[in-house]
Amino acid sequence: MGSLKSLGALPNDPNDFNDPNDLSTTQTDRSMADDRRSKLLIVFVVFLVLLNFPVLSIFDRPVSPSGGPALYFYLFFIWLALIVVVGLVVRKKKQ
Amino acid sequence: MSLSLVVGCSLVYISLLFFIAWWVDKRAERGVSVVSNPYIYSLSLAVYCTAWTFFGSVGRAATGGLIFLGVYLGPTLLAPLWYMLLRKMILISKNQRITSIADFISSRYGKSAILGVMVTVIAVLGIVPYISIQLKAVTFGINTLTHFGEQPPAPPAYIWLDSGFWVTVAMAVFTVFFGTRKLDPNERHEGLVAAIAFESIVKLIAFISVGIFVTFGLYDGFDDLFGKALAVEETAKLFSLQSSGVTPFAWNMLMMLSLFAIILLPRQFHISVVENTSPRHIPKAMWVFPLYLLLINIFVFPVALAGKMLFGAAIHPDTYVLSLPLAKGASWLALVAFVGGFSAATSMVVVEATALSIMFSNHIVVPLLIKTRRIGREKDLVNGASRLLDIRRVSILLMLFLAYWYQKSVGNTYDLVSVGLISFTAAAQLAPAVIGGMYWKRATHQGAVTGLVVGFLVWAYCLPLPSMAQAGIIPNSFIENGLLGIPFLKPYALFGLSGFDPITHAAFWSLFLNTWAYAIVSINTQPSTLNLTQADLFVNIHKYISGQDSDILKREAKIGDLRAVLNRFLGESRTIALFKEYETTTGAALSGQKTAQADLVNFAETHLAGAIGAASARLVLDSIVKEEPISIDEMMRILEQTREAVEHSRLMESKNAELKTLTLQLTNANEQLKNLDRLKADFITTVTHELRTPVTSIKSLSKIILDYSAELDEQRKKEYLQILVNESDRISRLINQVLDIEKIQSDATPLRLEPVDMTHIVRHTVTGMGQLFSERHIVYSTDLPGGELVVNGDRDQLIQVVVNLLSNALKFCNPAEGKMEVSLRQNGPHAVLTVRDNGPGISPAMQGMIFEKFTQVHSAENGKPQGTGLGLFITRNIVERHGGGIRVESEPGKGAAFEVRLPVA
Repeated sequence: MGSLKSLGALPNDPNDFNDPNDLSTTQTDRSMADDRRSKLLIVFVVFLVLLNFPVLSIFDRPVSPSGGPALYFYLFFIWLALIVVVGLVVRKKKQ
Repeated sequence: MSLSLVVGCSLVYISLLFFIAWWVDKRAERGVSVVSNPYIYSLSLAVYCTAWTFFGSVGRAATGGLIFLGVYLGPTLLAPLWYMLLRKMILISKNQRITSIADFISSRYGKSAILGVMVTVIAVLGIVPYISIQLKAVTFGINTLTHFGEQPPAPPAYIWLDSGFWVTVAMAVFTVFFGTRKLDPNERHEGLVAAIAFESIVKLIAFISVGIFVTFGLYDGFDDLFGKALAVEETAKLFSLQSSGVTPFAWNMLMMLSLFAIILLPRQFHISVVENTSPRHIPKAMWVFPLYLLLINIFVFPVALAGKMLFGAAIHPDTYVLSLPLAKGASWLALVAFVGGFSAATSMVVVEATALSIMFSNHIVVPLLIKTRRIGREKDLVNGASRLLDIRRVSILLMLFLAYWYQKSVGNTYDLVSVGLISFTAAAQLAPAVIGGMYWKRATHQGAVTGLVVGFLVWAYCLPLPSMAQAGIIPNSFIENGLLGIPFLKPYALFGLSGFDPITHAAFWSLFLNTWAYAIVSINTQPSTLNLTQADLFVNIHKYISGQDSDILKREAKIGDLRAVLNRFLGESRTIALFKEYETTTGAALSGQKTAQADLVNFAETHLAGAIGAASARLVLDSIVKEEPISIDEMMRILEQTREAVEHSRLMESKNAELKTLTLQLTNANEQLKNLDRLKADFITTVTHELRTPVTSIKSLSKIILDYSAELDEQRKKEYLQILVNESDRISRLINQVLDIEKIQSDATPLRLEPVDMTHIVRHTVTGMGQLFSERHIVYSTDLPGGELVVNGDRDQLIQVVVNLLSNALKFCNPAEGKMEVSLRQNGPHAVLTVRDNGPGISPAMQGMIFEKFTQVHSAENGKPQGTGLGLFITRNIVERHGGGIRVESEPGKGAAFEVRLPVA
C-alpha cells in the first residue's frame, strides 16, 4: 500500500505542503517550531484577557467631557501591540 | 448624480476585475502563480470586510458606540493561533482534497453524507441574511447617490422597477461568471483570488479617503472631532461601552462569535483553506491581516460621530459614508466611497455564493442524483463536468434570490450589522464539530449530528424566526408568550434568561447546548470504522503528511468501471492524465490488469472528491467498489498493532541503552583482566627471580663447602651454613605465601572461630618483631587499649594479618629515619587496628589495586618491586572472611596508614 503522498494526492506544485518550519526533519528546527507555538499560545491568552471584560472595564468608564476617548485609544493600542508582537514572534530567524 | 454615471462606474470597475482575473488565470495556465504570495493571501482574507464593514460599522458605531470593534478584534485575537489551527486545517484539507467547510465536517466524521447535507443547510440558511445585507447596501448606495436630499421614492409596483432586483440579477451574473467558469478538481480559482485581493485594496483606500475627508476636512483632526463629540451628551455616551448600553457579556460573546466566524464562515474557509497555495503564507498573514483590519477601522468611529453630529436622526447611519461627502459637496468622493462599498459587497457575494454553491451541488444535488441514478450511470451522460457547473450556476441564482426575498421581507426593518450577526451566530454552530474534530479523537458522527441539530434549532428559534414573525411572515404571538404559551420558551428569554440582546442571548444558548450535546453524545456512542480512521487522520494529520500509510480499508474495483466513473466527472483527458500520473508514481502498469487495488481506488477517490466532495465521491465509488468489510474488532487490532509497534520500539530503545552499558562494563572488565594477566606475568618473573637468587647462593655456597671443606676454617663454615639456612627460610617463606593464596582461593580450610584478644595478639607480634625494627633503625610507637579487646576469629590467621601489616610497613618505611605507629582501639561494634608508616606512600591510582593479587608498588628510585605482592591480598581475604574490612589512606610522599576493622565479639 502506497502512502497518499506518493500517489500524488498532495499537490505537486513548487510550494509543497511540507513546510520546513512545521514538519522539519532536524531536531533544532522542530524545537524552534515548538517554541514558536508556545509563544503564540501565550500571546493569545494574554491578549484574550486584555481585550475582554473584566480588564476592559478599567478603561470603560462613564465619559466626562474631560475624560477623553480612553477606551478607543486603549483598544487600538492593544490591537497594534498584538500585531507587533505576532510579527516579532513569526519573524524568520536569519541563520 | 445620474443613475447612468453610477451604473457606468460600476460596470467599468467590474470590467477591471474581470481583466485582472483573466490575466491572472492566463498566467496560472502558463505555470506562473501570481497569487502564491503571503501579501495577496492576506489581502484575499480581507474578504471578511464586507458592506457590513464599509457601511454597517459606521451605522452600528452611531448607535452602539465601540461595540462595532468586537467584530474585528475577535479575528485579530485568533491570529496568533493560525499557526496551529489554520495550518492544521489546510494540511488536512489538502491531504483529503476538501473543498468546503461542509466537506471538512463530513470527512472528519466518516465521510458522512448526512452531515454534509446538514452543514450545507445550516450554511445556506444561515448565510442568506448575510448576503441579503450586501444586496441591500448596494441598493441603498445607488439610491443615496442618485436621490440624495430627495424624498425616498415610493416602493415600485412591479419587481422589475425595483433597483434591488436588478442589483441581485447583476450580482448573480457576476458571481456565475467568476465562480463557475471551470471545474477545478482542487476548487482553486487564482483569478478570483487576485480580484478579491484587488478589491480589498480598493475598499481600504476608499474608506480611508472618506475618513481623512471627514476627520481632517470637516474637522481639524481627531482632537477637534473627539472634543466636539464629547461635548454633546448624545455622542459622548458612545465613547463608553456601558453608557451606550453594551453589557460586558455581550462584548465577550461578540468577540467569540467573530473569532469563530473568521475560520468557519464558508467564504473564509474557502479563501483561507481551499484557495491557499502554501501554508508558508500563514506566518506573514498572521500580522498583515490584523493590520488591515486595524487600518480599515481607524476612521469608522470618527465618521460615525461626525454623521451623528451633522445629521442627527435625519439620515440612516448606515449611509453616513456616502451622505457626508454628498452633503459637503464632494460628490466625486461619494462616488469613490460607493465603488469601495460596491467592491466590498461584490467580493463577499462572489466568494460566499461560490463556496455555498460548491457545498450545495456536492452535498445535496449530486448525492440525490446519484441515488436516483440520474447521474453517473447513464450511458448518454457524456459530460458530467459541465452538468456539475450548471448545477452550481442554478444554485447561485437560487441563493441570491432567496437573499433578495429575505431582504425585501425581513431585512428592511433592521440595520446591516444586526442582520449580519444572525449569520455569524449560525456559522459559530459549526465550531464544536470543526474544532473538536481536529483535536478530539473521541468525537463521533452521532455527536456531531446531535450538536449541529440542537445548535441550529436553538439558533433558528431565537433569531430568524422571531425576526420573520416581526416582519409579519409568521404569527408573532410566540415572541411575547412563548411557544404554545409556555413562558419558558420565549425566543428572546429562553429558559427564563433575560436582560440580554437577542444575539448574545441566542449565541449563548445555541453554542452552549450545541457543545454540550456534541460532547455528551460523542462520549456515549461508538464511532464507526471509517469514522475512526478519519478521526485519526484529522487529529494526527502530521503523521500522515510525513508519508505513512493511511489506507487501511481493503477495496477493489474493476479498472474499467473506475475509468468510466472518472470520465464522467472529470472528463476524458483529465482521467487519462491521472492514470498516467498513477502509473509513473507507483511504477505499476495498468493496461494488463483488470482489478484495481486499494491504493488505486483511494487515489481515484481523492481526486474525485476534489470535484464532487468526499461524501459524493464515496457514494459514487461505493456502487462499483467491492469492499472487504473490516470489522470494528479488526480495526481495533490494526490500531492496537500500531500501538504495540510504538511500544516495541520504545522497549528496543531502552534495551539498546542497557546493552550499551553492558558493553561498557565488559570492556572495563576485559581491561582489568588484561591488567591482571600482565600482573601475573610480572609476578611469575618476580617469584622465579626471587627463588633463583637464594637457590643460586645456596648452590654456590654448598659447592664451596663441598669442594673446599678442608681449607675452610670453622668460623667461615659456620657463616656459610648460616647463610644457607637463611636462604632456605626465604624460599620456604615464599612458597608458604604462594600456598596461602591457594588455600584462600580454594576456601578449603574453614575458619576456626574462637574468642581472641586482639590486644594480646598485637602486643605479642609487635614485641616479636621488635628486633627487625631495631635492625632497620625504625622508631615505632604503640597505642593499645588497657584491657582486652575480644573478637571472634581464627587466632593464627589474625596473627598473620598483624604480621603482614607490620612487614609491609617494615618494607616501605623511610630507610633513613623510619617511623611507625601501631594503634588498636574500639570504635562502636568494631575493633580498629591502624598501622602507619612514613614511606613513599601510594598514589591514588594504585590504592584501588594494592589489595589485588600480584600487585606490587614499584618504588620510584630503583624500579624494582619489593616483596611478593601477595601480603595485602592475603590480608584482605582474611579480614573479609572475618566479616571485617580493610582500607588504606595515603598520599604520595606522606606515608600510608592501613586500617583494619573487625567486628567485636
